Amino acid sequence: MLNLVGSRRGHFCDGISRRSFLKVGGLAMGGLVLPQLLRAEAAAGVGRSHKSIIMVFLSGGPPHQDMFDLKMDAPVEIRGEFRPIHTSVPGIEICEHLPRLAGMMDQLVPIRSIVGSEGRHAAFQCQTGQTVKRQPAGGWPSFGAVVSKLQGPAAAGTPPFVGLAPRMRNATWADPGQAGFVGQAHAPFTPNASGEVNLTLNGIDLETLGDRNALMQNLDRLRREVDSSGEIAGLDAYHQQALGILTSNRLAEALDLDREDPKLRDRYGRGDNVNAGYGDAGPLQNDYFLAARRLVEAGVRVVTLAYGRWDWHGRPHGTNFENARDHLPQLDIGLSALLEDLQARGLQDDVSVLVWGEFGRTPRINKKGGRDHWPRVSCALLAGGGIRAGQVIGSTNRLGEHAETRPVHFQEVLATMYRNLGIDVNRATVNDFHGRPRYLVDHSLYQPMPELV
Amino acid sequence: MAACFCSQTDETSLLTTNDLPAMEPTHIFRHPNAAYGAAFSPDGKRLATASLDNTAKLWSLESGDELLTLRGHGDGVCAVEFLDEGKQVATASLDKTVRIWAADSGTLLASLSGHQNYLTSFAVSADETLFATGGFDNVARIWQRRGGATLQVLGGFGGPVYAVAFAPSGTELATGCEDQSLQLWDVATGQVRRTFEGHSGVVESLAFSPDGGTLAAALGDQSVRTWDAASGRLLATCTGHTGVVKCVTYSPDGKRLLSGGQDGTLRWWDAASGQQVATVRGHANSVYDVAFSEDGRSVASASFDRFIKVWPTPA
Repeated sequence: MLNLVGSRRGHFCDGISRRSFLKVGGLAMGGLVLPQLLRAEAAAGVGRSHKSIIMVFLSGGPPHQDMFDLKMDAPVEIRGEFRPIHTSVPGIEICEHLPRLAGMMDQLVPIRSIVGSEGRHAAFQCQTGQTVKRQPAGGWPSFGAVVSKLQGPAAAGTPPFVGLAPRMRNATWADPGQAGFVGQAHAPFTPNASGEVNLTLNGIDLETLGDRNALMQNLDRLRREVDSSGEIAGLDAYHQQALGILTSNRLAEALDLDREDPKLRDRYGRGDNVNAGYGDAGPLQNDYFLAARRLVEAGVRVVTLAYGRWDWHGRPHGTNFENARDHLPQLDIGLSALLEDLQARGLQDDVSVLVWGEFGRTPRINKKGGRDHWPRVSCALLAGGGIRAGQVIGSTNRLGEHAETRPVHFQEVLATMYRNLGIDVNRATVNDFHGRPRYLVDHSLYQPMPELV
Repeated sequence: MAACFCSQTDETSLLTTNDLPAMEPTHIFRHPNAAYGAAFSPDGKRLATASLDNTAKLWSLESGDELLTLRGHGDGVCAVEFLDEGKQVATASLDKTVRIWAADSGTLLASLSGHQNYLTSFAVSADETLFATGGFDNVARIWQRRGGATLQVLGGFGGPVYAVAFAPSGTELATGCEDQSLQLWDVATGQVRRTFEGHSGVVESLAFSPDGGTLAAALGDQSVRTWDAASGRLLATCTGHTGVVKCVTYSPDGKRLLSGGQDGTLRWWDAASGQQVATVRGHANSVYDVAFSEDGRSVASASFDRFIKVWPTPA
């Protein structure tokens, strides 16, 4: 969250005495505050044309066979409760609880054969393409951090990488994408990570922030107080730039969904702020989809968000199918709204949307009505970014146990995302802690998916 | 949390059968996560609801307002009941505890613990002196409400105990299990008195008729069945649900049965014949609990779709 605090001698409108310190709490990326970030970004330079990625992480491992790869020829203990429906692309069928996505299948690419999961309950592999084991010093950077490093901000006053995940009990699901060895300057801006609902600027909420007069009065007061102490002169260019971000309103406006037409917000489905499932995963917050669109429109290159709790082992926390009946329609509403909105704004070729989880789920339904972890194969959904949509990639065997054709590794998907951003995974590198150049994916094995480019 | 009083709609279609006019809920309430339980206060003015969001809530049926949220459980709340003419509320939670709260202030008054795994079923004896619970530790427990002492630990189950129900006399307890067993226990001795047969599937919910003569079960085989409690003879089989039947209860006069199921429907049955009287497709997901008001004029349904709805009882 944003916090702007003033002089220890002064008292602001909330009556609380503040220390003379400019802090951008929500922009504190792994302990680094915004000025440091901007300093680092400056070294990275500004990128080329503005392409963006929105990555939706389905925390917990979504059931591939109940979403995009229904197994109607399997026995009932594997087949499950759902029926497939036709889509706008003849021959492609998906779950009955995803009717809106089915209607726009010509814009989508379900991948039915994601392989290489290390089976860990974490966003890590979706964020980095790498496994947690045997990491280099500093850790693997997430793709958002790599993009931040390579391309920098696309627009003044807008960070290149934003993670919308709120705080969760399971921190590995809340992971918006770590900076790793590219450095904390490239960690995401995480406006929801503090668990607070609203941005605050010296106690000013978003509503007040929208009131430029009130905002400027407060900032002017801050400036006067800091100036009188001589401390403003000590602010380096990056601090001043941070102040510029705050006063530009660009980021705050992007996150202020009240500026949207309520009808459009309704179309996205709004959603809940309460974390889903056991409270340890992300909420079914469809506002995040809308916020993601507003952020990429404002110049953010990579937006990540965690959506729902997909770890459905069964009773007493609801069967796999009860949870799916709960989650799938809401995902269907939010995701379809996002894709329609991007299309309506002409952004469909500039913004890539990637939806996936850390692994799939067991073919056999357990005694509690759940499906357990199944790292051997999982699914993903791609859209936008100028890819060749309206096709399914890969297949699993009759029981959904393993990839039968065209296994697709996590790194191939991320290589495709990099390609959509204009980054050549055969050439681009980032230096690790030892100054050694590292490729973004293991490009000897994994390339952008040729079916899509 | 939005409290809704005849104003909020969801996408659930309401369908009635048997030529009844379309039925509309009189109240709609919502938790931010699945709703697992509902109970009317004895005076019919409040509704208590239990949710997988780890809370129970009290709602005014007069104003539609949310009155109170009972926080403190560490996992989903699977059942809720009013005690002492509505002055207290008991909640049972997957966190393995039963808690008693002051219904006016939400103050926690007592907490009972003993289960070694998820607690998933809960019942209060008619005189409110005893509690019964069942859990994923494959046991049922009978507790003294005052002091929380365990009177009996009932074992021998081959799976989680999904259902417990006291006979109106308080001397017998029925249990239903994932292993499909349906048994009647002597509360004083902890011995099995009778086993009920003739069904297949998990026993999801149990209810005694107000006179104690009949035991009804909601079953995984998509049926509701009734047995003569004294002899164990199967009396009726109610069919019509198109999925697991999750919950069942008797009307206060004992003439109707009400069930809710995985198919999102509430179904009213003639208790004697087992004939379906009315159906409403009230929810978009499994119905986990149904309850009659004490005057029998209203029913409440709690669903995994997060909604709790109050309906008029069909004529």
